Amino acid sequence: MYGLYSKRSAIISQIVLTVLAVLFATPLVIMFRVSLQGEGIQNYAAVLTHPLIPRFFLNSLIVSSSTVAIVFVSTLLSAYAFSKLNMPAKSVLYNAALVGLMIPAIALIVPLFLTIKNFGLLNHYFALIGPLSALIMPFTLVVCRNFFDEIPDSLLEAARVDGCNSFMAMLYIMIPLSKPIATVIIIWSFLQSWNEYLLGLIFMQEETMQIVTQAPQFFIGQYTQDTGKVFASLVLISLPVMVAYLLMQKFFEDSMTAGSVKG
Amino acid sequence: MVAGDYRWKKIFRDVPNWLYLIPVFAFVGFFIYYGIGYTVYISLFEWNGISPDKTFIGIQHYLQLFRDSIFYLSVGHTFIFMVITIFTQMILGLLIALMLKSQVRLKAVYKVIFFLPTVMSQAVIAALFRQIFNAHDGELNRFLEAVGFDFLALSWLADPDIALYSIAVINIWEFTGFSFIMYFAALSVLDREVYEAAYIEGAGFFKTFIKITFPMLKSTHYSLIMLGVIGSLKTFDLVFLTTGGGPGRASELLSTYIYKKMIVEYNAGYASALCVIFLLLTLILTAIQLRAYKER
Repeated sequence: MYGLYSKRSAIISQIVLTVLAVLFATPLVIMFRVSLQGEGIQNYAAVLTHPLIPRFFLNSLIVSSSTVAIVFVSTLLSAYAFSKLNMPAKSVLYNAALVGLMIPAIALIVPLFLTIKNFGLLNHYFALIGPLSALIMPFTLVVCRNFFDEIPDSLLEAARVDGCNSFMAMLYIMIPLSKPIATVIIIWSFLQSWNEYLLGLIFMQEETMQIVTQAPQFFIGQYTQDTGKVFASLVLISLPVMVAYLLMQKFFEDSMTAGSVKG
Repeated sequence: MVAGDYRWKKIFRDVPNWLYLIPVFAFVGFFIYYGIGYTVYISLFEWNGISPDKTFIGIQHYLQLFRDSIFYLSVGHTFIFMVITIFTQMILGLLIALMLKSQVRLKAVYKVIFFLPTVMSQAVIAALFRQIFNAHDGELNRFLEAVGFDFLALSWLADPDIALYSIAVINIWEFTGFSFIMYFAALSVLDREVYEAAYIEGAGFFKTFIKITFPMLKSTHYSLIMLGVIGSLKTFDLVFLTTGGGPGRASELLSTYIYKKMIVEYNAGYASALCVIFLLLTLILTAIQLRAYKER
């Protein structure tokens, strides 16, 4: 297929792919090798026993899981309503909900910074959870609604005839059918919030409130000359997401391609 | 009249369905709508964001902005960065996706290697490449010196002429895997029969690629360009954590410039005016994107 039939094209592909793969893998290999510089595996022990490391992970976990929960519930409810229920001004409201689809946090930095500060929410989890949820939701709403649109209305009508109200119909008919899109929403919103840096930089200034993406800068400050330990922290920070990806490759790939427009 | 009554009753009956939208509009309303309105409002004032008194100055900031050479510089850099990264990532991604569709071995291994950088956080990637690109003891220069290319051992992030391009390389390393996975998924659903027909007619790889594969991937090209444009606009972490926009202003992007105006200089009014321009760009892109979603 694709015009690639000959033995020769397979051999050329194999060579080019190997060269590219070596090129792409090199930074990762370097990351791992430098992390063993100096005191070897002791670098990891030093970072792992650093009192703040569990704290960084815990903070990120709290922020990410709260964001995922908020995005998940809000997305399912609204996508269901937009896809399956009648309501006045539906398309206007749908477009209005999606205004934030492509707005990055940096474009709203002035109101975010000033309101979070005025509400006394600096160094508070909600300073990250709130903006992250608002910025992630429009995207998950689009992909979830597109998924719901494919589910035939007749399934819901049958439930309605049996006396279900719209909420029960969602609970018993839509939710059980939503597993594929649910994983997409969860993985996407988790990755987005776990990897967020800017909001942490601005709002989490106290050491004990910092998130994992702030950890590299923190350890660069801690171990100024000790590149080995800094890199051990880089490996440790990346490991959970990498392992999650290796265990759930297909879901990660589906989440990434969910936003593509099929023409 | 009776029909009209019925219609109103029906509309009224459906109003409670708005309840499902409350969570979304609570967040979107406060953070996006209020945020946009507040940004526009503050852009009309001279204000440091802290002091109780702000001075209304109308559109002065916008006039100032159009004479601000750093504004033009940062927009220019953002545009250069955008063009380089989008097209390189697309070409590499498509190439890799196609090659992985031929009869090669170790497919799963290649796939993981190309895709891993995409899930890593930019904070880690920036720290990693600051070491690799270090002029003195960075791995890249040590390698170049070892193989006798000393003249190529440049100050990758400290030389104002190349800093922006070095950051573009980091971006390409990170996101080629994304372009690849998008093309790979799109290639998997292309119509087999068209290719069989091409094969019967004796079309080789290049002819098949130009006549069939490339045109049939139109929507993927489009998606990647859109996502690339917005991705470049929001690029912040990579630049902030490698060069900080420097040396001087050599790698200043619109995003890092806004950050400096607001968080470093406390110039809330001017930062807001910059944000309004930024928001206009993203809203135009959103309108284009939403139209595309509807046409599917």
